[in-house]
Amino acid sequence: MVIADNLIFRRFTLGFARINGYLLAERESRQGVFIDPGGYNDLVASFIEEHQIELRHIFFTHGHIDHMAGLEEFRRRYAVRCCAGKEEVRAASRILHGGERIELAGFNFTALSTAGHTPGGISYYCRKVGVFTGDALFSGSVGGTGSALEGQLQLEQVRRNIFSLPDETLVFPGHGPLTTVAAERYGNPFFS
Amino acid sequence: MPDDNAWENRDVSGRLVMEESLDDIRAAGSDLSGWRIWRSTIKTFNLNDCRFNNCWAHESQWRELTFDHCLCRYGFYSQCTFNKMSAESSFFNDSHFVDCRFEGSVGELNSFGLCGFENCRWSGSRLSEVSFIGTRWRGCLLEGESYSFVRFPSAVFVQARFVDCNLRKAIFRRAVFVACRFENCRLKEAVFHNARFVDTVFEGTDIHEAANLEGAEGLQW
Repeated sequence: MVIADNLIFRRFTLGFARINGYLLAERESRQGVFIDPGGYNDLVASFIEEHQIELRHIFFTHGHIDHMAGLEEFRRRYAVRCCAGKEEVRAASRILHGGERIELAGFNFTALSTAGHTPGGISYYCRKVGVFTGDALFSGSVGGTGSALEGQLQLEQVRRNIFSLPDETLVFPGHGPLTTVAAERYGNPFFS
Repeated sequence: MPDDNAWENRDVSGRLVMEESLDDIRAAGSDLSGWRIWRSTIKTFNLNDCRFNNCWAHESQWRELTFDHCLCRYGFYSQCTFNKMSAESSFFNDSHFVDCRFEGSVGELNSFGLCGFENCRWSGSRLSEVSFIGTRWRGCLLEGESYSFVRFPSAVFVQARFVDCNLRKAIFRRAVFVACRFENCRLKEAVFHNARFVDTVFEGTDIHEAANLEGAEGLQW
């Protein structure tokens, strides 16, 4: 998807829960990041090999098993550094709370707290690309929570940290179709 | 010998296509934004990782159009026919379609958020996990459509007809239906939570197949 001229981008359907995993890499350096390794399959392997991507990072939006079931395979094949929210993923070497900047080959990501679905849920925003929301925000819906308070927190965090992004921002959720900030802000019934 | 129809990482934006026939175009990583297409036929058009934003097309025929990981936002299409369109992981948001026909489309994981459809006809589509969040539909016919987990939250349908459609697990949460008709449709596990119905008729269609009618208003039994 030619979102940015120097970006290689691919969405993969992964694992038993058919989650969305996303691969981003800078076209010149070939350095890349995988967001939510919910599985590993031949399509991922061949894409990385064909595009000669040097996978450097794995970002986790949260630590549910359907979003990290492929972690061991990724770690076996690539020298990756894992980033996740607090107490979400044991393998994470960089713990995020929201507000941190992560630079990857010219792409600057900002970690945004979207707790609620899980206590340390993180979304990743890159101005040139969009925002990766995991299960905090779906098209027309939100991920489930364990209590009403957590549900309320999730809505507040999405309102504050995702809906404050520019309208045209592309949203890449952990499940289901892709969307935009404007479409969700004006059309998602959970925020009405 | 170079293949003139294979465009890789090319900027071909702003092209005018006037009363032309384009056939067997294969584009990857290219920018085709700002195309202006008038009374043309475009056949076997494969876009992979491309931009196709801000396009304007009128009275044109599209056959076997394939979008894979494409950005096709802010388009305006009138009196166009899209025959056997295939789309995956692509954005068509904020586009407007007037008097268009979509025949035999297949799609998965696309977004048509905030699009408008006026006097359009969709027939024979097979769509899965496609989002039509916040879309507006006026005077449209949806016939023989088959959906799975297709989402229409907050969509507004005015004088729309759903005929012989399988709307399995379709999500119409908070959608509004004004003077619409559902004829011989299957609504198994469809969601109409907080939907509003005004002068909407169900003929040969059992609304009780829906999984969620909570908060729905204006249903006529």
